[in-house]
Amino acid sequence: MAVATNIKATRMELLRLKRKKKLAIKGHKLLKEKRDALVSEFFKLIEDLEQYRSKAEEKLSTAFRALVMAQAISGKQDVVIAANSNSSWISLKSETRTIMGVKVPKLDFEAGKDGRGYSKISSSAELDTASEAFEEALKEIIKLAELESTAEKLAEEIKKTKRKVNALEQIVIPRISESITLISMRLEEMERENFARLKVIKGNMEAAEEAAN
Amino acid sequence: MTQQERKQNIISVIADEDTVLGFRLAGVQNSIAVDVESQNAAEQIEAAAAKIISLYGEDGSGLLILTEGVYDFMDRNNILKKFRPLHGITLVQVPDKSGSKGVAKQKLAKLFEEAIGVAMKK
Repeated sequence: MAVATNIKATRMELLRLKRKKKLAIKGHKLLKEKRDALVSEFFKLIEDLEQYRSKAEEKLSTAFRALVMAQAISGKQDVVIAANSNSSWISLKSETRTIMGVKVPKLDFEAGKDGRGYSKISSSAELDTASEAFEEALKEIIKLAELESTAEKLAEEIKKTKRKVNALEQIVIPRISESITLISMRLEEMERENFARLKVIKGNMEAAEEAAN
Repeated sequence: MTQQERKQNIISVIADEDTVLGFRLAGVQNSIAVDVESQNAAEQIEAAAAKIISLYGEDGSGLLILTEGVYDFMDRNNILKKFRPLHGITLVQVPDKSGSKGVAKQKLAKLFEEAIGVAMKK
């Protein structure tokens, strides 16, 4: 492990690094907890997502069958005319909610007051069935989109948190620990040097005293 | 309704003709029909994407529904990344009338593998 060579071997630096290590360990523990919570949330979401996707695909397939029926009964041209004269009477209600600090969208279907643009009197029952079937499918698709987007955002956050946890575990904490060991060893060495120096001085002074006597 | 309000929460569709027809019946008028099988599919889809991007604007929000075929085409031809700066838009893939080709499931499996580190059980 590469240790910075420009470390000041002082007691102040040692204390600072010890505090930093304590903080890094605390941060590492918290991030690990966050990662585990995010993963458990992600697992729950994946289960729901699969269910919603099958439901949406089923509804859409029903809607396509209804559309084929409508085209067969009313004729392709009439269906196209009805579709183009339809107003944008549905809208989307979009909010943001937070899961473990991750902002995720919350989407809801909102039907307008105006109703469909085409005349119900002149249109066939099959056309209405097809419109309603697509509307039902759209509701499921909106829910599916919300869950998919949440899953993507959670996955991104899990990746980020994992990277931070790994960086703390593999790089930051070991690097601080090595620096602490290095400074401790240097300080001990300095202490020993000082002790040896004092011993030599004491020895010299005693020798000088003996020579004087 | 102001222009700003109109740009919020739009539902739009880029899909094949039948899917667009169906969503128009449901009341989604911002629907553009494209044909991924045609010779000029790239131009058609690029034009549709540009139209949708200008419809939402930079700060627009809402939902963009794409069929699996269109999504796959956009992904292969680097058109999908044009939507990335538009954070407010949620993209969703749906199967067309021929049924699901499993593109969405593959995407989910990839997402799972990237996040968790192990492959998803089939």
